[in-house]
Amino acid sequence: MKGATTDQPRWLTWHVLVLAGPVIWYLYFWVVYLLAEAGCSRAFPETQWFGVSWVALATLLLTVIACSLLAYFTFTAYSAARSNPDLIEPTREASLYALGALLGAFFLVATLFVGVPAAVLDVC
Amino acid sequence: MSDVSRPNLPRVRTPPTDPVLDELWSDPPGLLGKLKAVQNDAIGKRLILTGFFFLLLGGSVDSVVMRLQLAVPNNDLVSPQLYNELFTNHGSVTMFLVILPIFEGFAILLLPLLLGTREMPFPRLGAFAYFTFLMGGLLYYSATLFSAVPDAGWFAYTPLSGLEFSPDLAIDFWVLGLGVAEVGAIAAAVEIIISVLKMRAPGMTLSRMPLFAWAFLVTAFMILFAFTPLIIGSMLLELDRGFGTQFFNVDAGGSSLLWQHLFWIFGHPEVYIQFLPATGIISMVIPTFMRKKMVGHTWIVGSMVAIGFLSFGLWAHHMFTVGLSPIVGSFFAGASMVIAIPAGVQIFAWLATIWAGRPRWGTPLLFTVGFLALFVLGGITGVMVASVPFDLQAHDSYFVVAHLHYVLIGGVGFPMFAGVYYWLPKMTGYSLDDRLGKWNFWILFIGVNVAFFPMHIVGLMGMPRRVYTYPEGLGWETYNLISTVGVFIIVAGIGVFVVNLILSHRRKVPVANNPWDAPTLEWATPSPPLQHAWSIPPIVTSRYPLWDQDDLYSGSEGDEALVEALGQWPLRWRAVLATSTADAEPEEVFRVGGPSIWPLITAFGTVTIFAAELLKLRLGALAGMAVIVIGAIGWNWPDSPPITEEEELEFEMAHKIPVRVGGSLTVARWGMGLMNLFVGIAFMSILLAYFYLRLDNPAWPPPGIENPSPLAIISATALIGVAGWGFRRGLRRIREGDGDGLLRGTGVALLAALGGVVIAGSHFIGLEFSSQDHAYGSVFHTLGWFILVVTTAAIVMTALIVYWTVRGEYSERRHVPVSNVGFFWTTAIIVWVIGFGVLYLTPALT
Repeated sequence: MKGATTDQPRWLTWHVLVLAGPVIWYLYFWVVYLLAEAGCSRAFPETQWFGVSWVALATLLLTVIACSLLAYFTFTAYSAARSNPDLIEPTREASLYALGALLGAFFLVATLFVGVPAAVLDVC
Repeated sequence: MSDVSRPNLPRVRTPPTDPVLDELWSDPPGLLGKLKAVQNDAIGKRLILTGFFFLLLGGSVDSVVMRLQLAVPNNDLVSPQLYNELFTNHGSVTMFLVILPIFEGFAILLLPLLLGTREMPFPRLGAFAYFTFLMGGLLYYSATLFSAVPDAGWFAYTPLSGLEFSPDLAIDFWVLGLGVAEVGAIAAAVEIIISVLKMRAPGMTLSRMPLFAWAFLVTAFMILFAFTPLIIGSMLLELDRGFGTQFFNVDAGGSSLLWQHLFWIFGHPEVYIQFLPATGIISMVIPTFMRKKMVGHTWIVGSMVAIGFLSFGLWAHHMFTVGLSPIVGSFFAGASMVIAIPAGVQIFAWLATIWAGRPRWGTPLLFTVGFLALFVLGGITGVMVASVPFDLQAHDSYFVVAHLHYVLIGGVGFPMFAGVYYWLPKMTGYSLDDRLGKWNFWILFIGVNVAFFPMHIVGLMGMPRRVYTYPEGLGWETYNLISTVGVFIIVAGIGVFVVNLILSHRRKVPVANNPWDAPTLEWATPSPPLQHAWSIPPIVTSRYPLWDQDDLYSGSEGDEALVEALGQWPLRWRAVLATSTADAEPEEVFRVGGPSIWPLITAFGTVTIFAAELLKLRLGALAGMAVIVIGAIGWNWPDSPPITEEEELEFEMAHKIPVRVGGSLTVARWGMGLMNLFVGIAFMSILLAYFYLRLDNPAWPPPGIENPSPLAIISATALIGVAGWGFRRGLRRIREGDGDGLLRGTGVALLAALGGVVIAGSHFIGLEFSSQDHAYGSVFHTLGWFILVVTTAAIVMTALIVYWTVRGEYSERRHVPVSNVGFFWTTAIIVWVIGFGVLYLTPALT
């Protein structure tokens, strides 16, 4: 099993790059949702960090982490797709890397859509 | 990317073995033969026709009566009770018994032709899927015979669907009948996933795979992830209704919102489960009728995958009015709005292809353009209701009814018609009348807009949905009357379609193999196709093989020789080719199951369990379970291989590809993997219920219930660990050809696992609190017994392995079932450790 490009780790295969975006977003979504549910019902809903609800801060922190990961995988997939020059009849791997880059970029946007409102909204 | 239109299409070769292969792959004649039938074309057609039959029963009659009732204010054509039953039936039938089975029928019917393979990977599973769907639908409809028609809406919200407000059997019919059908939907999804990933023609890489297959691949995974939580939710509801548990009883620590979460985790993806196959059909029709390769192929694939994942993060937008915290509301609103991006990407890709192409205005293209117009409107109103403030106003109003019908009729119904007009010539050998088809389209298009557009306005004026009548003077009269007229126009449109079907069937005007000059593989085969679809499997080197390839059998030297050889050998058993997931390189030749009565018997056992619960005959449920076990054993009974291991080896040596007459290794592994996934999702759904109830209760366990001692479970866990070790050891031994070692290992596994289950089961029976005491007790017992059932399934499989080992069925080359059961053991042990860890450790931690 080869990595995406010769200078990338071996574990960065097309499987990883195609699925990274959707899976990271899905895990992120469940974590922030469960955190908010637990935070607003049981786990110290009134607690604040630096004058801000800890749920909002944790959500924003997780959003930053998820976005960083998504940006990394998107860029890696994009670079791998670009390393194949034949855009007319791309190789199988180039197509799948391009798919991975598309998905990574989309779920980066989706993560921002989900997470950024925590900066301005009332939490609980 | 260039325009395409080639006069000399590549044709399929017809080797002299064609008649032999056709006979080999045919289902047996007569009534018994029909009951044993497993061929994909039989199963696919049955699913489509049965879905259409349920549509006529539940979709059309109900809606006509409802619209007649609402045509004028203060109408008393039907009673409030009958109206409740009508809208419940209309929604339930459409969502569970019509759209999904019709699309799964499309997939099972078409995928082997499109992918260049002879059959689906598990033909018997396909037959089982059909029979469970049919029996589930009939069980659901049989409620009418007992005057116990479900009336709590297609969502069956608790507490309305609980015993207090629905004491008769109506909701039980809803839960149990549709539950059986859901099992069928999951079985068909497993078939579809594996056929798309492992059964493609050599050379059909993922990048070259038709968008139809991509759409169904994503859809099938979604079915697995969405229907399983619903099955678990339905089980919990039935446990509350039939066994006195407290999952949804707020007074005893339960939560009515738990049902809504479990239902909508299924319910919202369900919309996309219905929409994505439609996009697959549209993506096949547009290139053909525009004579233009699809613009943005990869973008459309990405959109499908994105929609598939994102749809599982939208469910609570159906629950904005239940009092979610603002931040949770914003999560779901954000996710609901952002799904417009991939949907929009698809729309623009289709429009770009239409823009760049040269249209032929056949009926399929008309329905496609109609789809685009209606779906865009339905999609935009969908983004509107994704906004929390707007949804708080529009929720449960006719605005939402208008939105969902534009999405479902425009976004799903129209592509379905496009698909029927497009592929019917291939499947029957004759085409539908194009003039009548155009009448069909225009009448339907006008009818849909007349019926549903006014609902936007009347909804914004405040008319709530699910009301059986309304008073005069609110300004709703005219809009409702127009909607009723629209429904009759729709009925006329469907009538034209039925007439077209009947006339075309009578006339049987023959068509060419590729009447549309279409680019994908299925159009290279005869119309109607042979039973085995492909005598010589094709080799694919393009996304549009019939436009780009000079012939269908050119590839690498090895691939050419292999496909040629498969046209000549074997002629005594049903051989198919499995290929690698990404590159579609040949991996193995294996035997698929032939006609069998066991799928029907197993489906009968499944429906017996559900029907017995309906009648509260618990012994009947045990009998059903016994029938399932017997059915599964009969289904998988290893019959004597039609060739020797030496013959296998001879072909292997010649073509350097494994031959597995005893069943595929890779495909079976995928099958077991998906079964494990199903178990895992079910397990996660119960865990979700556990933690949701935990958050809803201030004390866990509640006052008066002690956290039970873990000692018995610890000793049982040790025994389960020994079982897992024993089985692994046995598997290693048979891989080295040591049958005695396999027997020793699996024997140890069997005894240890039995000991573990007996200890844990006794412990649960002796617990001081019951499942009826509190929601804690309900979820504790349910999760615990779920784990024991999974482990018991592993024990039954192990017992069969032991039996077949004693009979000498396994060898170094032929031991696929042993590997698969080992795989299942891994899942069972993970479920055991996590499940009991949650039950016994989390109360101390939280």
